[in-house]
This record gives sequence, structure tokens and C-alpha cells, in this order.
Amino acid sequence: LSTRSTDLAAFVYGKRAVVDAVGEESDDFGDGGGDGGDRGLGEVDGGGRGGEGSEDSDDDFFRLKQGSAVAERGRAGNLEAVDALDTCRVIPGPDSLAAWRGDGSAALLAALRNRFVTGDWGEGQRRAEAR
Amino acid sequence: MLRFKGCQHFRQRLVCSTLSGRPIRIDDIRAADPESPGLRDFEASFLRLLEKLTNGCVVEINETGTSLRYRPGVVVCGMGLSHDCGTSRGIGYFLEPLLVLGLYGKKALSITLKGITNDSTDPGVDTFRTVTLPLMRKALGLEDGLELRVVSRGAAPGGGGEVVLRVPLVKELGPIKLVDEGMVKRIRGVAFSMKVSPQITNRMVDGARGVLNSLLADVYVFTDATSGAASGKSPGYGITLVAETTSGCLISAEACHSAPRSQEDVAPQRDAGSAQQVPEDIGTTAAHLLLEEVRRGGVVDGSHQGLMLLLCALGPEEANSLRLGPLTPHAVRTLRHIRDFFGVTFSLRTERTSNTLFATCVGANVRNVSRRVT
Repeated sequence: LSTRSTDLAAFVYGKRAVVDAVGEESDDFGDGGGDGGDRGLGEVDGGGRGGEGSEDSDDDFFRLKQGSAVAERGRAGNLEAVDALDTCRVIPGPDSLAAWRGDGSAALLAALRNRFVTGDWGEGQRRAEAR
Repeated sequence: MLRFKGCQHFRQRLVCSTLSGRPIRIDDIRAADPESPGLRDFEASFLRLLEKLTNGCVVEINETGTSLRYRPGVVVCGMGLSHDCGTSRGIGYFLEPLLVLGLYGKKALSITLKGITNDSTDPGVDTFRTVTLPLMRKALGLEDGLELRVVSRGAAPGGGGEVVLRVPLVKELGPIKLVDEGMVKRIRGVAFSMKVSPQITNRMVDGARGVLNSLLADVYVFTDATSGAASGKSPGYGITLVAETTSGCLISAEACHSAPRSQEDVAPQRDAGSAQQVPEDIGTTAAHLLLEEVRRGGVVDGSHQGLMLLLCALGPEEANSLRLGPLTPHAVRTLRHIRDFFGVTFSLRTERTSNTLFATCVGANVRNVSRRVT
């Protein structure tokens, strides 16, 4: 996703925020992005959407009571959840920072080097001019 | 009347409704929650705050609190206001909409907010002070009058913090053009603590430096160890980091020790690993979050995307453009709401090598109608 600009526009604007008649029916061009909540566009955390789907499973006879505040927090990353947590803060999921802690961290740091003034300025210039 | 569902994006719906003058109706607010459907206390608190700032708004809530009708009034604001934010959400929850509404007041806004200054759900007051306000000054060309003073800090669950926010009024917003990311030249930050050993702030700084010094030597984190009256009612600590780039962009990240607010909060935190609560680890987590934000790119970090997009949409009828990293869910929701309220659609163009996107729009030219004509 988001490699092509048209896809991105369809992903963002394929669904409406309002629930008026126009909103519900006119999203046929957005069907490509209909399951968009799972595409993880720009999500820092990978596990942001356990919330509702798992609650309907068959073996939920004895299920742990999950507090609504916690459930809401879990839905923050799910775009289609109407009751998602209202915060602008990027809340990291439990394993979103695993890559930085684990073995891959050296590679990640190396990839970031040219974003700092201690890195290659020519590379930074190229990035700045890319349109 | 615009109709919405659920409690998502609650504050921005009300802000956009107020600024666009379009009444809204929200149904099914937490209707799927069997135990406690409807509005929460912090949402009711925000509605009360909105009533303080505006004249003639009408709020109707049904018996269970699952439906809300809101007819906006005129934004007034004024000096010497105060609001108790409660302890369910941080002061940041209330600050963010105030920053936008305050610009469109009849009088300049000066308000004292009491509650939790730093928590793990809402942006902390340090982020507002060191990133959000400078960003708004830069983007909108505001000279002075925009100020946030932290009188005392307050951690969850007790709160007890106090801040004073001043927002100047504008006639209309200037065009926004922020497309130069620049390279990170220095990293600053604030490590704060309330009612715990002052040494904890230094331990958090050590944790953050341990990660960041491999990329940059110019890392300086201020420490603010509060005690007594300036430290609120509960112990807590955390750290906010800000990366400044050569083009003057500010990228921030924060992490803090999160105290459980209620019984239900306790269990998941134990799962997430209580090891994360050690000061050094909080410093490292914040540093990793900061690097993650830098990696994603853009002139602002993920938590400021929504605010900047909204300011662009409210701006003049000329090209407003931003270079952003991958959109956060909050930013995507913001874009959808902007289209529904103001009819502003952004053109989103992806730059493939850096995986950033250029968001450009023609603003709705929302002017301050309540400001007195002199």
C-alpha cells in the first residue's frame, strides 16, 4: 500500500466519517481498501486491533473480563472501529519496538545515519529534493 | 446536520462543528459496551469546557448517554478561565482542541487547567510546551501570546497538576508550507519526576543517551525533579525527547511510567512486562520511539499530523502543503472529518524513495467571525 498515490487517496477517502446516506453507499470505490484497518498504514504497532473480532469466538464462555478502557485502547489503531480511543498520541504496541531492541537494531541505526548531521549530507540533500 | 457514530474522534468532531458552524449528531456512543455504554466523564468534562468557551451552544444527550446532539455557538474564550480536567484523561486531551478553538475566539484565551500533566495515553504538557506550540508559532507565524506554563506537575492516578495556557486570537490563518525535513542536528528533552527520588530523572537520561549517542553527540536532556506542592498528588516519572533538524522541524517522542488508574488496567500491564517500568528502560523506550519517528520521516511526528492537517484545512484558499511520514490512524480519521466538515480534500502524493508523502490542499479559509472588528 501507499506505493501508488491513487491507492493512498482511495484508502483515506474511500470511507466517510459521517454515516449519512451518501457515506454508507458510496464507498464502492473504496472496497479495495475496505479491509483497510489491517493494512496498518503508518501504524507503529502491529497488534493494534485485537479488540472486537476475538470476542465473538466460540470458547468465550469463560473469558477474562477485559475492561472497556483497555479494549478501547486496543481499538485505537483500527480505523473502522467507531469507538476507537480518541488520542493523537502514537501509542506503541507491545512488540512495536522489538526491532529496535533485538538483533536488527544495528541495521536500523545504520539506515538512519544519513538522517543525522553526523551522516552523509549529500544523501540528505537528495532526500530533501526528492518530490 | 452531520451524523456520526461512536466515540472515535470525539473532540475534533466538536471542534470542527464549532468552527464550521454545522450542527452534529453522534449516535451509538459505546453502544456495544454492555457494562457502561455512553459518554465517559472526561467527554462530559470536555463538553462543559466547550460550554465555558462558547456562547449559545446547545448540547443534548439522551438518557443512556449513547447519543449526543450538538449545535455550535460562537467561540468567545476570554481571560482567567479555569477548568478541572479530572483524572480520567490527561490535560493533553483538553489542550489540543483548545489550541485550535482559542485562535478563533472573540477574546484572547487564558485558562488554567488542573489534572494529570503527563500520562501514557495523552501527549504530555512537555510535548505541548517544547514541540506543539513552537510548531504552531512557526507554521502560523504567530509572534507571541501563545504560551503554556506548567505551574505544577501531576501524575496518574491522583493528578493535582496545573498548567496555564494562553492562546492569541487570529483574523485568519496564514498559508502553511512545511516540506523541508532537514537533518537531525541535536536532541533535547525533559526528564521529569514527581514525588520520587530525583536520581530517577538521571537514570532515564542515561537510558536515552545510551541509545542516541551512537548517532549524535549533541544530546542534552533537562531534568525536572519536582517535590512538594509542585509535584501533584501521585508519584510518577517520564521523559520527553525532541529531535531538532537543520530546517527547524521538531520531532518528538515520549514515554512515562504508567501507574494503573483502575483495577482493569492492572492486568494488561503485567502482561506487557513490568520490566518496562524501570527508569533506564523508560529512557530507552523514549529514545527508540524517537528514532522510529525519525525513520518514518516527515516534518512533524505522528502525533502532530492531525493538528497540522487541520490547520492546513482551516487555512487560506491557496496551496498549503506538508511533507509527512506514513499517516497515523488518527491522521486518516482527521482527513475524513476535514472533508465532511469543510469539504477540503487533500491531494496525497507519495515520494517513493523516502516513503514520505506530500499532502497539499486548498484551505477552506475559515476566518475568525467572532473577533471584534476594530
